[in-house]
Amino acid sequence: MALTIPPAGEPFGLLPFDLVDVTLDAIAAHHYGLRSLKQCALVCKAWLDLCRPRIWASLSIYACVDCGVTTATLQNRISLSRFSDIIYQTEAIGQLIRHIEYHDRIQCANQKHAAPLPLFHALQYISNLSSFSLYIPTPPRAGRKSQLFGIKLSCWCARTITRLDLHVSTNIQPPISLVLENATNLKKLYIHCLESWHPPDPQSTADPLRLEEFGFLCNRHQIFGVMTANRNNGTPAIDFTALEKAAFAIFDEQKFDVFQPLCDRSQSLVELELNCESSRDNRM
Amino acid sequence: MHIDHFQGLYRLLSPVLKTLQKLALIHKPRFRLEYVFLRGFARELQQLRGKNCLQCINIVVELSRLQALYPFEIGDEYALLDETLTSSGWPELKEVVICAKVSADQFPMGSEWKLDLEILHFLGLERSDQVKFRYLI
Repeated sequence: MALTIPPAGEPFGLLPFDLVDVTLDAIAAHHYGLRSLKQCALVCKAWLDLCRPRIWASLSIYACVDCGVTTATLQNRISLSRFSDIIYQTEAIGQLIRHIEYHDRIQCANQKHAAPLPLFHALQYISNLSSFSLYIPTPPRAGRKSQLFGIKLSCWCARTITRLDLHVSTNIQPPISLVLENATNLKKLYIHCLESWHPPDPQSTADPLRLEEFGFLCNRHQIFGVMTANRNNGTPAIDFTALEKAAFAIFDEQKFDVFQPLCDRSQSLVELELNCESSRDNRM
Repeated sequence: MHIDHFQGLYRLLSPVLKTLQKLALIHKPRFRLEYVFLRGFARELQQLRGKNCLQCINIVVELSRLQALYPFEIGDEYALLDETLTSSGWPELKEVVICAKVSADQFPMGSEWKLDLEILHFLGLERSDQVKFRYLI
């Protein structure tokens, strides 16, 4: 059935603003919400202004060109090169983005992937970023990339983000000191790593990171110890007293002790998730 | 060889028992021929009785091939866990979710064993008026 679009202001102008707002929120929450929002944005200028922040609030950026395109109609997936083009051409878009997931190339034989450098350059135009997830599974030139990651992230967006998810792999060594010292508003930190990790700088005099959520899913428990230990000035790098939600990975039956200091320091822990995995054939 | 995988859980939780409301435990045996004892978990939970304000307990256990060989033992462990969670000492408990996963690599035994698991029940929790209980396979 063909729909007739009434003149501007009629009857959409008669709808209470709150009602439209709530309806668009519900649409955005739906699995196919993005596609519907894009349709709604075409209705009129007023709806475009309402839809645009919702469309751009969350973005998944893929280094591989093809990965970013395949399901673009279902989720806000975009290739890195396309993302860079949009950000540079329309700076206003950058202010609408609240959450970014960056996926380095994963299980993809396609070599048409871009280096993450454009991402870090583009971040300076994203002034309201509050949540950042990085998935870097098995990159080449790990050392160079990790340096870039740490420095760029901490300089350009670390001060605004409240949640950081790092999914990194062997040989990636993000200098966590830089992140911790610059991400002064960080409340939620989730670390999924397999092996290497640069500990906080013991000489640092920065205030401890006061976290409300912390996830540490790594089988190298000594890294946790280093990260949470007191620095040379006697203060811990991470303050757990306000922690409300925590998730650990425990890889054998003896390792509960590793996380004991966290529970000892916490004064308001409400939710705890323990991922236990036996490790008698621990290969990682 | 039987190993108590959950030894030390009570000690870990002791400092946060006054505030902790939601506990999720996810266990996955990486070693295929390994027996995961739920009774070890039940034993640690018994120590929490009367000292906690837990509202929700979520247990996800992936069962190994070895456990398929001991169906009666699994039944005993279920009973112990059931008894622990339905006894007194859980003043705030409102929801318990237990999920027993049979991993894909358990075949050809897996499908048959899944039927065995479906026969098992947590009678106390299922009949409880206080606790909303779900058993997922």
